[in-house]
Amino acid sequence: MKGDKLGEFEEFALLALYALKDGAYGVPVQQYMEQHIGRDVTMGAVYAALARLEEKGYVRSVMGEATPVRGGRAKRHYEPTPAGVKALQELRRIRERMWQAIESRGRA
Amino acid sequence: MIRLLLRLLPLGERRQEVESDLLELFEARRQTRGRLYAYWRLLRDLGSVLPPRASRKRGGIRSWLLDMRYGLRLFRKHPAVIGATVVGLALAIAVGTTVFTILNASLIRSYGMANPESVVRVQLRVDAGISTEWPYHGFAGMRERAQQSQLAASFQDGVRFAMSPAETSGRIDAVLLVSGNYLPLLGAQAVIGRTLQPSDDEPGAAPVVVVNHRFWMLRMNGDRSVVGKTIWLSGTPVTLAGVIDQSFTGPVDKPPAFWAPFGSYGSIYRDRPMSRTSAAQVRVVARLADGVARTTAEQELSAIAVGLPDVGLRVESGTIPVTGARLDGAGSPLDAPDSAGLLIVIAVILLIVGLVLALACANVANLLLAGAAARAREIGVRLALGASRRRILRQLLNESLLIGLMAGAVGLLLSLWTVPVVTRAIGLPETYDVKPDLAVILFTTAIGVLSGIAAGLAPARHGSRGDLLGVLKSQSAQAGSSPKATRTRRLFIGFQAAASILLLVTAALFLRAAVHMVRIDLGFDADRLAAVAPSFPRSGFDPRAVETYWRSALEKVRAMPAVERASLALYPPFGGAVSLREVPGMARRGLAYRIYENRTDAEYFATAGFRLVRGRAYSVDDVRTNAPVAVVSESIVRDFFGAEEPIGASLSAVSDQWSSLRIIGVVGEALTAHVMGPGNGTIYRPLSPSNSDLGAARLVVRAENPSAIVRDLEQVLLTADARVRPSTTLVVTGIERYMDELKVLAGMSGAVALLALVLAVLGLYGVTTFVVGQRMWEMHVRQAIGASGRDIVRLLVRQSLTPVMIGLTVGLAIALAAVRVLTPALSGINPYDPAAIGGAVIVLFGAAIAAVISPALRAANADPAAVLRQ
Repeated sequence: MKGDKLGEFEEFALLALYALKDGAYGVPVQQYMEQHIGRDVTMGAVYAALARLEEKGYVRSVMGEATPVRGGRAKRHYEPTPAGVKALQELRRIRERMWQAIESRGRA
Repeated sequence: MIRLLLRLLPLGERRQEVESDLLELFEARRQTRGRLYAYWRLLRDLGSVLPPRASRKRGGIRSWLLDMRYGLRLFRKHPAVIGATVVGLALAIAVGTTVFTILNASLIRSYGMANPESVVRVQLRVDAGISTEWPYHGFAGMRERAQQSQLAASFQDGVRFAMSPAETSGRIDAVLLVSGNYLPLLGAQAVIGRTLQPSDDEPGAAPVVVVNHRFWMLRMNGDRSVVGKTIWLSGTPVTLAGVIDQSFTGPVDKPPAFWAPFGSYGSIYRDRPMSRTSAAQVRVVARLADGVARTTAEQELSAIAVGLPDVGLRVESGTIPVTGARLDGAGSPLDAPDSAGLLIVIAVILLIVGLVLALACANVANLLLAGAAARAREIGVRLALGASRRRILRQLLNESLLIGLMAGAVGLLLSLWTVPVVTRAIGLPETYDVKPDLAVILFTTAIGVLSGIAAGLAPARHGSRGDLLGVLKSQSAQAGSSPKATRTRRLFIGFQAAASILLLVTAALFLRAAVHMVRIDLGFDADRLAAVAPSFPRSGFDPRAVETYWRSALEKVRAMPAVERASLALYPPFGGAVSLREVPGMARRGLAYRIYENRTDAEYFATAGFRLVRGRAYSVDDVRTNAPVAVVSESIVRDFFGAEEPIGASLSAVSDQWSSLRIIGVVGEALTAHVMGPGNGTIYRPLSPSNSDLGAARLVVRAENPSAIVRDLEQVLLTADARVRPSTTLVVTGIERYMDELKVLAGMSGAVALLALVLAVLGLYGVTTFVVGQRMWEMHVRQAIGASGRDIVRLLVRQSLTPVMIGLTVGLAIALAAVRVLTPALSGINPYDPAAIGGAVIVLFGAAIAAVISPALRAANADPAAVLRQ
């Protein structure tokens, strides 16, 4: 529906992945987002966002090896693709341009 | 548990990832924010990860509501029949709820202690068994040395409670005397004032008691100002220190009215204070220290117990030494050592309740079956329009669920009224808390839902199997029901008849027994007798003192002008206690032949008013010398001597142990035992002054009007020895209590049987009405080709009653096989009493005919032309 554009929640999820660097999986992403957004984030929303990002080519995931820490369960690791990072930076540029415009007009 | 839940959810290919993530999050949240928060978030996460199908969910609820609305509309169409069925089910549920409430209050409900899992009952192992009570000094010694657990002790006694010194209460209420640490140790809280504390046991502490919450509400009108004031217990002023929380009863069989510290014992009972030399026997409980296993504490207490001086079990031949201690869980009534027997009682009661519920369910099922048959066309249309069978099934199940829930609600309301009636009837002490709690409400909801589903299962299966083509093709909605549904319906009616006759026979037998008791000749002058049970102080009263007391007491009482006669007996009539001996080889109808044994002084026969048939009673000399003589009742002569001369004969025919006894007299049969069941005669032997049981003897007083002299009698007895507390009961009261038990049994089984009968009649009537309605066409064709009205009625009645007859036969066979277990409770009525059984059959049969005759008459009287023209 949104094509290749990033939704707000997707953007947050992608930012979380970017901040967490490699090794990020569902739980840290959810915790990071909850901490920074400041409201409850359900796992379902996180999964949905990650799945959409993957579909759009901004995120790729690998099934990791089983680790002894999680009771021998494998986990899925996510990382942003170069396209994803580019999209984030593009959004940030747009936002900063617009804010600058507001602030310069306000001073004038 | 969470893992299991996760395993059950439809997570698809993402299962592994979601499972591990959610578990990890749950763990993290539990550690940082607590368990409750973690569960709450887990639930939300679970909801969020499920495949999105909100539309389906909403549709589910909406269609469920539709089902319910549809069901309600159906009820409006047949209000009388469905209303009656709901009321029937509600009555059955009310019976179930009442029984469960009482069981819950008396047997299942917890003792209200803090951390009950660490509370244990401490008993002593002796050579071949367990000693539940042990001397106070043994407890004191063990308490000092125990490290792994803390010990507290109690023993039960009675007091007469009064709010002022002038009053005297006619009744005795239970007091639990406890060590000062007992209540704090078990975690009892005071709602007003304070609980007892160890300092209450210190020498010189003022006498205090705390009161049971229910007792305070009922007997002190819940007056908050009484706390801290003085109340009178058996004439002694004590301070009421507090009211204990209503949830607390402590690990005892019956909640006491008061708890008093050992330190107040001496004041309340005008006895020496409790000390190491007291002969009081106590029951001991313990709380295990944190982290200590029961076995560890048991080892420690065992080691201490073996070293305790003088705690063994005293028997005639000496003392049986203590070999250790045994710890049993005391967390709830079901932890008690005898819980197996308890569970059987609960199971039997629940079985009867289940039977009644099944009866009511069969009614609902029958009704719905008939309904499903009548609605075959509607269901056929819905199937044809594309409704799935599952959808139809759910519709029918929802309807019966609705009936179940409505009945459950009505039943719960009804039980609010029946519970107090029944508790009063069975004489449950008022210290029991019988308010419905969460467990009761859950129970009622559960049986409402279960019976709704159970009742709906068979009809739903039949209904949803609707024959599409057949129904749609037929022009008439009265297409007749399938043979299978008819069979199920007949099976239900047969079952109802069988269950009804079983319960009716039981009720009839109890009724006969109660009537029999009213008319029976007791064989002695019960209404002229009073029995006095003295309670000797726990210390400083040796057998010689007891003998002296009796001699002086008898002398003083006989000198009273109102007293006609006075004598001693070990077991006064209807005194509650008896001594029984079974005679092997004389069993009748599978019941042991039992002989009551009593020991009395010489004047007892004249005092009680026994009829001397032959020979003589024993003389004062016989009693003093403990002569080997006996007086027996007529039935012993009849059963063991036949036509032979009994006077002078030895009792060896009855028992080897009695071979040295010679019969000197025969008295008429007298019903003197407050014990249900067949007594097969009594033997009386002299109660000599040297008998070691003299302390347990009772004073039996004969007077023109015994109730009028009770007060004077007790005053006179106090002049014999002020330390001995007399407590008087009228023999008539004992008989009344026994009669009440029978009446209650007759009343309760009668009520249950009546309910069963009403349910069966209701079911039969409802089904016959439906069947007649369906076969109206057929009946009119029959009439049109020449059948008379009478033929029609005869046909319908015969066909409707066939399953009743079969059920009745089967039920009667079961009843005849089962009533034998009732024999001990029937006070001499033959369990195969023809009047009772015949009466039950006639009542059931009559009711069944009444139920089918009116629909049958309706069919016969309708205008055939009108129906055929349709």
